[in-house]
Amino acid sequence: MKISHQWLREMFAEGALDAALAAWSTESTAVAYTRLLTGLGLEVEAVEVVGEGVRAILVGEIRGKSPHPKADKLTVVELFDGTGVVQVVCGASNLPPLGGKVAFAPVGAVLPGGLAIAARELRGVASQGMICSETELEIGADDSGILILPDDWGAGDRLVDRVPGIADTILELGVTPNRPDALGHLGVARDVGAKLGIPLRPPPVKRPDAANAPGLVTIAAPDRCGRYLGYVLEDMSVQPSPLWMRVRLHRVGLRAINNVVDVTNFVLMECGQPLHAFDRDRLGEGRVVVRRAGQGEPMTTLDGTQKLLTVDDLVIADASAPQALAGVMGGAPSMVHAGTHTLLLEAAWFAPAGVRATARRHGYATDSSYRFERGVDHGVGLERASLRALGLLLELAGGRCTAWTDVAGERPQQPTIPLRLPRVTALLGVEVPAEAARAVLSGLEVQVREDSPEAWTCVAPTHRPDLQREVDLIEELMRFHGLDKVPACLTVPVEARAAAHSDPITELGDRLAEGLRDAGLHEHVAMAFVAESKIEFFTVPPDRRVRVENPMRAAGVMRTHMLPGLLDALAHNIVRHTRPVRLFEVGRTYAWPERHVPKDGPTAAIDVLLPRERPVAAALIYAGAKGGVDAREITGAAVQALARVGLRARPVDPPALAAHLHPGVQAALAVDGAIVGEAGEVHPDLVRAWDLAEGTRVFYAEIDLEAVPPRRTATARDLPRFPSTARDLSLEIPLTLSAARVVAALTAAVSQVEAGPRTEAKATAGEVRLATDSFGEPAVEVLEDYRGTGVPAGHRALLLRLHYAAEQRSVTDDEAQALHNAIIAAACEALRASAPTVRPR
Amino acid sequence: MPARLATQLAAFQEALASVDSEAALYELQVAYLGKKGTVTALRGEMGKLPPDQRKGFGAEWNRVRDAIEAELEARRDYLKDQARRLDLARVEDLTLPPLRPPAGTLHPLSQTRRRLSESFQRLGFSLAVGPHVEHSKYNFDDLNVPDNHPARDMADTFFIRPHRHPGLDDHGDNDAALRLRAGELVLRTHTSPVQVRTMLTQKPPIRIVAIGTTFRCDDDATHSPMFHQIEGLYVDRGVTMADLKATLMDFTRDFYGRRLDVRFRPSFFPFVEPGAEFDIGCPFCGGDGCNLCKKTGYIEIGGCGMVHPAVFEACGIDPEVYTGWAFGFGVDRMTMSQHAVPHLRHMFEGDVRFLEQFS
Ligand SMILES: [Zn+2]
Repeated sequence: MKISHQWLREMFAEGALDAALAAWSTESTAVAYTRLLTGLGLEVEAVEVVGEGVRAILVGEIRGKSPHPKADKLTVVELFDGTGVVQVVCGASNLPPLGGKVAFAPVGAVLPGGLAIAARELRGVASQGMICSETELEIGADDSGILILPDDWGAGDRLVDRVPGIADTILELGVTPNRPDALGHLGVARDVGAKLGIPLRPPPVKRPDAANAPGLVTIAAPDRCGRYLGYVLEDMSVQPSPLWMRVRLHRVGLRAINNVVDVTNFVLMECGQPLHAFDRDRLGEGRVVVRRAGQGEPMTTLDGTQKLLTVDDLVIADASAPQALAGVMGGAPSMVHAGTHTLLLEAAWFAPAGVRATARRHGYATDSSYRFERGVDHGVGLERASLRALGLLLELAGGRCTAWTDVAGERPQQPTIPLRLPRVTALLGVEVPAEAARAVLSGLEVQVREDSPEAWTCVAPTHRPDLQREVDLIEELMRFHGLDKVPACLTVPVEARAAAHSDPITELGDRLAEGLRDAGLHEHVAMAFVAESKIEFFTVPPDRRVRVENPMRAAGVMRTHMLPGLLDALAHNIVRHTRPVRLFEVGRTYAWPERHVPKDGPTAAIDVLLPRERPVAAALIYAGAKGGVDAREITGAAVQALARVGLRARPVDPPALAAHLHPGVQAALAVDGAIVGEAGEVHPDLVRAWDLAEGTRVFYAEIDLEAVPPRRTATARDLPRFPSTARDLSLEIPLTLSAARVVAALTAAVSQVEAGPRTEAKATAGEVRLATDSFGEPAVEVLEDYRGTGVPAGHRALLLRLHYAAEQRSVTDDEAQALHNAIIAAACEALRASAPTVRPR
Repeated sequence: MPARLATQLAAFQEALASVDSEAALYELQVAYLGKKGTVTALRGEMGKLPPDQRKGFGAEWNRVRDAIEAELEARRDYLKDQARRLDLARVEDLTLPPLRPPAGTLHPLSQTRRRLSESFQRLGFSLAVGPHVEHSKYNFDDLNVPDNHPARDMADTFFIRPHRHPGLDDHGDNDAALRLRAGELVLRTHTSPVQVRTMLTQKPPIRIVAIGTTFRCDDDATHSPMFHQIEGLYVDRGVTMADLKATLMDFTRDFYGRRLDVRFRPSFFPFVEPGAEFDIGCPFCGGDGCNLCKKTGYIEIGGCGMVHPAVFEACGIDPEVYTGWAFGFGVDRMTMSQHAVPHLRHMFEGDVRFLEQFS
């Protein structure tokens, strides 16, 4: 919202604003405004001082015109500048006749755009200055020719004296949605006046002498239209507006059209009240009805598009058809045009939610709908705005007002708001003295009845629909009394500080992240939504994907897996450098649950409607095409991450193959027998889908945070008193038999052997058994995976080491070997059930 | 000395001269003095001597054995000394580039989130979480942002297509799910729904922060469709704006490690009243104005204010009994301003050359 300093000045008595501003601050106008308005919650986003370059521009009178001897399109003009006649070469085609007045930039002037005017020759003819257009002076948008000034202006007058609004300070305000009143100069002036203590004195208005004609307007939808003022103007003429009006509109970012449209725009910017003018001759029967549209009723709006309306749209219609989409946009048939002579001027209050719904439904966001949505004045301000427009129309377009009416629908009730002064202190933490409160509320035109010294009853003015409750008034007191007067004073009890805690899943994610970081991975944050093509490889079926209705970057599905985001990042890195790429991300994946999952607690009714969000930690290690990175680095990273929360994870055979991983290079991650994640090589099809080089190997692991058991506190176990003794074994196994299964078979064989018949040796005290490691688990180590010569095709040799010990004594070699042989025999027998070629080497 | 003893001693001494390891020395000791050693064997022959010579031979044998043992000991000391000298003569250049495990990093946003969370935990605020896909009731309605209200324009919303759960018919929640209309499920546009969820499930006093991912349809040089916010909420009897100011000032000092100028200015957020914007003095230029603060000397951190009574009412808390404040800050902006990150897009690209700078 652009606010003009010159315009604000006119809302007060002559000179009052300048004096008050100067008394408030010695800073420049721009700086003072910024501090003043930002302090009131009307944030000044930018300030522009405009029109400085126009100060040198004079009114010039055409005294002579002759064609340029060498150029068809140029004219040599004799121009009287108030003191003498100068010769100026001009290229415009709209030069006025002799005696006409133009804007003249003499030699030495510097135009707003920075152009310095110097004496020069144009194709051999001397030119002592320049005749300017609106655009060259930056006071308008018309660049079709030079600016023609009224004939009665005196040659030599300064343009800035003729049009005071030219030199100005323009403030760009960020107006929050609760302040529709600040969408006009009058509302901003009211805040400024209340802060600086100067009374508002906006330009006077006058009611028309014409008779009230109630039949002019009918409100058939009183719930949607609270009030409608209509004025009939006859014998007026549509023309361009005078320069002051065009400059004013240009300064606040609007384009001048004609006097009728310009007046409605002017009042929009001055009072914040949208108005509409109909060509009354084109309204059937010359009267309107405010009604709901019929379902599918057609209408052509001002911009020439045809809309099919719904019963929820409010229209202003004549006897036969809609003529305006109420509060949003006028209709084409009754639009004001050059030949319009009779107007129906509308000033109304439409219900905000209805205007908003209609604007959205039909894809409009107009200056009008913007203000109606936020709530315009339905009281004295509405009438004042309409009378201001009426006065300006009569001034600029002539004619007379022959009829008017003021019809009421359901107007919003102004609430009676109690204001308890102790409550002000209770919320702000500072006392606002009654006298100061009284002054602020009076400046804002809030009616106050002081029932007791501490309990007041207030009624807010109709231009402040945001003032509904006591807190709203308290905010007003804070705005004007000054937020800087609120002290900083903390009351959080000290014991409460110690009780603050984190969230378990966040905590777990943070620890896993630290583990992955320590494994040399960098943390990535990817977008939570992806393109559907990127999740087709994954197992979440289309009907369980969570879809965004209005996606950006074509990313229309909430990610069902973390891998696509990491692959995107990998692809980004690969084309830019040759450094190692090791990334991880801790985030959420999204999917609709497979079946209904009941929820508990006070939010259950909402929670059952939401998709499932799964917290996941995912890691990616890029191995390139040449290898050099062992696949076990990815399991290593995952194991290290889980070690960070005191858990010992081990890779095991996956219970089911993950489709996005290489079928022969994947494992599940288990903690205490429960699956918490997966690890493996990214499926070659995905590598291709991401356009990575053929043969590129990428390793990936993920941990499901909700599957991770609680952190375990280490319980110390006593150390063995006697040394253990180790025995190695080499097993020839098929490639498809995993080390995890071999270890499991050996471990199982131990219990089988130990549960077997008791031998004499076992009966002795301190029986020999497979030792346990520091975590109390069977001490079976995998030493080597050998695939060289001497191993049959499709097989490999696994070298393992088992540790034997006894509790009460050392173990003899023979004892250890006997048990070792028994375990191997039992394990091989068990393994052969599924892999017949297993044999010891 | 009997000749055989002398020969053995001489042979020992000759062999000893060429011994250069402790293992060889041990072997030599075994060869001469071990159970089957040559000198040991001579002692066994003493019995074959005539009795008058035995005593003399015994004394000589002892002398030779003592001599051998002494020389072995001396040689052992010498070898140990030699070995130590050799060991000490080793040279390794530890000024070569140090060998380290590969260094990973935490994302700057994570680092900020952790520090925010720690700062506020020290101030007595516990961490709370909520879903990213949220119902508009919690994201808007209960936060005093009714449908068809312009305040909804403050956040351009991503909408989620509602889903009809298979098998839902068997359950009582069926009706609600079937009534779910387009536009009711959204990607949360702020972390504020966590306020609602917390107030619905806990009784005051409430002190929480929620830090997390948020979404808005906005995509340009300074806006990402996905970004991060921290939400704070304090509800108890007698909580005032003065608490809010003090908490945010304390937090600023804790988070930035120094006292920075702070500025509160009135503003509007539907879920607080009175509402304010919280700015900090630009940590880079000290308020003189630079590119990072767009020449204003201040960096906007976010909004704050006293919890709107309508929000309390929606959450079943009596605003006449309790008061509270809330704030919501942009974590991405704080991160970027702290590390002088030049482009927002760097934050979400996963370029290791960017990420590794934040060790
Ligand atoms: Zn700065």
